[in-house]
Amino acid sequence: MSTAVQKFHEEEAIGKTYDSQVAWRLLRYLKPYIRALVPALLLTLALNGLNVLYPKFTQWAIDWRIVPAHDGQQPYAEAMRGLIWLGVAALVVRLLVFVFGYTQTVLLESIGQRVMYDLRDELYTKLQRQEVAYFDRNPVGRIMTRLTSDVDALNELFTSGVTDVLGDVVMIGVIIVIMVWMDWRLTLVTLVTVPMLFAATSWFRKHARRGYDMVRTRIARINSFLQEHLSGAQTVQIFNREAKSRQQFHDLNDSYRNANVETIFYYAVFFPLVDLIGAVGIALVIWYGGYHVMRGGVSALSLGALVAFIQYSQALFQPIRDISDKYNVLQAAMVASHRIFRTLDQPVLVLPPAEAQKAGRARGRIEFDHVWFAYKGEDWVLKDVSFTVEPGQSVALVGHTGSGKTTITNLLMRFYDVQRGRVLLDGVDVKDWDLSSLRENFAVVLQDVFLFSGTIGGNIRLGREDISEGRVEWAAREVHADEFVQRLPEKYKAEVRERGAGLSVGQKQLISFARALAFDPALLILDEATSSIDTETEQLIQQAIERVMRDRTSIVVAHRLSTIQRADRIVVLHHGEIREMGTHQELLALRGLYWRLYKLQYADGAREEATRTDDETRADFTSGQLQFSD
Amino acid sequence: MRAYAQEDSEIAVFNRLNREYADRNLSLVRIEAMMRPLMQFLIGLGYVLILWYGGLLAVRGAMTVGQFTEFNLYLTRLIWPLIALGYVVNLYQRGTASLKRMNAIFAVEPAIKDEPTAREQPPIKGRIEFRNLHFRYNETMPEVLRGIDLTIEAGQTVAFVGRTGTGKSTLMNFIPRVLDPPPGTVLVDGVDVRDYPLARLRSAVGYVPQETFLFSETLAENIAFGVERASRAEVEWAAEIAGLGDDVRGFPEGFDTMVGERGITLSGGQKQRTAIARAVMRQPRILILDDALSSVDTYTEEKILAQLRGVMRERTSLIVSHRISTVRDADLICVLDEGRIVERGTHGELLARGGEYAALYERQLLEEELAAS
Repeated sequence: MSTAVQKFHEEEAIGKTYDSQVAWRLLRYLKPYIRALVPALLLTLALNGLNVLYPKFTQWAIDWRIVPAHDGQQPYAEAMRGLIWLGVAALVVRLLVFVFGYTQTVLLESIGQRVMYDLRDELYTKLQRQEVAYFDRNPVGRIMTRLTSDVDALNELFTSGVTDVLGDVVMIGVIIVIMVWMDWRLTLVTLVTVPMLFAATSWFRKHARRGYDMVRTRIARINSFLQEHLSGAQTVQIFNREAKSRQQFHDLNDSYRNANVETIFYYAVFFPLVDLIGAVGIALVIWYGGYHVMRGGVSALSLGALVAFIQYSQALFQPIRDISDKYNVLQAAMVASHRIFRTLDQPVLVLPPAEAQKAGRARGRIEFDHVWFAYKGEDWVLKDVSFTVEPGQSVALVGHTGSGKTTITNLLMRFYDVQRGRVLLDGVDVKDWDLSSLRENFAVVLQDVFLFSGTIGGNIRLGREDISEGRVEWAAREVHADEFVQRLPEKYKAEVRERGAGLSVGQKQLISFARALAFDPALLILDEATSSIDTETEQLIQQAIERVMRDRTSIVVAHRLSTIQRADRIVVLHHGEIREMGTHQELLALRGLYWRLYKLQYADGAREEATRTDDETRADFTSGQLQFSD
Repeated sequence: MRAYAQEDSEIAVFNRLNREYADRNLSLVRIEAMMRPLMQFLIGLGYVLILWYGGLLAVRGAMTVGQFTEFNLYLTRLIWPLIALGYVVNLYQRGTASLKRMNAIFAVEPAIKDEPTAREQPPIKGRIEFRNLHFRYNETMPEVLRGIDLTIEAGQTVAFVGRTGTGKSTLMNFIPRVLDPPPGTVLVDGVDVRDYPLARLRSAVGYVPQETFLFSETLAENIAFGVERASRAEVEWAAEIAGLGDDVRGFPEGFDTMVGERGITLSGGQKQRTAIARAVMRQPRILILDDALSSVDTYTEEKILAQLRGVMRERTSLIVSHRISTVRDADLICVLDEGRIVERGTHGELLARGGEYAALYERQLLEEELAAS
């Protein structure tokens, strides 16, 4: 659990210094929408200007009409007419505020939505182009968060941030200006409470933020615990662990509740405190202002002005209170945007060539020319690897886990760039190939077949609309996938559930063979699966492999003996070096590494001998998961 | 996805979905944007009315200036409670909806629980009986098991082979009652499994399912998952039996290495062996390996099986597998087909019979011979 917290904090640990940088960068996203933004900001100004007029109407009603009529200085009918016109004016102001307010909100929200759209798009495009290793380092869950919740948190920044906070700031400014204009002394008296308010606010902000972080860390822990223990519910039950895992959850739940209660405490103190300070402010206004109204004379205050002042001082507190309330939302949005930008700033390691020397369909000649490769630093995964494959030939890569088999296929498709040496396709360095054209030349059938949600047909077609239905079905027939698809109620239109649930491992593999055949690429990369499949399905798969490999250059990370024997050439890798190369028979005759691996794995009777003579080999292969079968 | 160079078409799809989402949000915004200004306007209308009618009263002298001011201030005071009330009504509606969903969960009775007939039973020895067991997952589905009759004596090792979907895993699931069998069809020590307290029954069983599930804890915690207190020596012992010892010695932090998303990624074989260690750790009376060695190479498999035989002497073992090499030393081998036991006997007996098992053996032998040619 502590590791989770640590990771969480890593995610959160983003210095304040970034805030202004991030803010500037966010502003750049607003630039395309400047034509909507400028009117929206003008409306915000106008809106707040009009809003602060309200107390003025009350003042005018009292000073110009009610008090004079009361004192008999103004005829009754004239005061009434004046009042009605004042009311009409106030109504007009209200209507304007309504129209402005609506327009302003629509404008700002639309800008917000468009910016979100742009960001999601940019992120997705970026992630699609990211090299494979990026996905090894970053769990899918985190990437998803980036695309959804983080982007949504940013929306708050645009809507709440721009609309409310900016509006509030303008409001505070305008009110103070009006108050000073009405009576600067009374204004000073009113503002006496402001430092108190700031002190209360910064106390609250500090604690609320800490509480907020705590609440988030703990809910994250609860979520990951639930996710794991619900998907592993059966294991929990079979091992009688219900009580223990209930206790674990109870503890997590406890700490989450405590974090919430603690946070609520600060809210519960802060808001009444602000009210109290507000009341002090009003008391000061009544005391000082009332004194001036009663005293009369040159520095006298009108009764209406006093009433307006009371209303203004109340109106002044609302936005200050709002801003502290919004602070946490804004802070979270800043963190989210920082994380989004960090994702966007990841350099793409594999860049397309400035000028592609080759594109289009390849003939299929592969050459590795003294290739050295390391995923990081000097940890060489491939050391001086050289071999060639002629068009239409097949090569089986053999060796235990970590010997570099999969790396070879990754380099061929240029998911990584080699450090030394060259990888050539049809005699042209893969770095000089048009990148998408290069990859289009390959079909890949992986160990773990990944099916996307959609139909069976859609999974064979994989987004290529130019592959006709007839071709899809032909491909499926060729690899014997048709037989089980026909048994499904909706056949090729049958929906594949998430990750292909409902289909067996074997069926998923047949679909991926059909996919490869439908695409008809010049080269095939096959990472053979070894999961347990019954013998009959196994035979179907072997036939499918044979069919798909026909007429194209094939690189097979091989586990099945049948596939290995059928290959035109076998490349035996050991710790990133090519140790042996040749056909099955040639390699057996060598009585070298391949022969020993082979004996160990397949020749039942010879096992005794193999274990006795090949201690070194056995040590390697028993600990490191085996070559043919793992 | 990238392997097929379909990024551009996928980006286009994402682009379309993204735009749809943004457009929907925008139409929602047009409605929601109305709310706040409308509320402000209605409150403002209140001020205008006070101005008119209150002003009229004040001018006439029916109301003092103080009262007129008071009214204005009261209206200001009213705004927040009104907003809060609307908010609370909204909260209340969402709350009742959530409560309804929660109640639906609370109301669910676990389908598998202690039966009223369950009572304390003497310690389990490990004799298992299937009596004319028929089973289907639901009314509309065909029968998965069609009359299984089998008695396994305590201490025996029994293997089940057969194609995918012939009901082997279903049969295994009945013993720890992961699935509930029809009454009177599955008995342990002569007592219906439904008459055992669930916890009691399960604690006698070490179950290694087809799909291994490990938790994001340390390797040691995963292995000791099913026992109350475990010493490091016991954990090491179980790991050794499961053929995991060499692997663990290769890990940076040995048994304290974290497993799962936050730790190292174990290979399929390592996961399976961890699951075996977890089951062995409980020293169960009944051990079930449901295709639990499929990702382990044959050499390691043989080593594990030999060690298990030592531990499981006098305990009952049930092994499901596709590989002849896994099952051939069992006391009894059952071949399942379409929910029935079509053949039963020892490896030698079944070969002599020349049926389904012999054919399977032939096929696997053929592969090996092909290799030897």
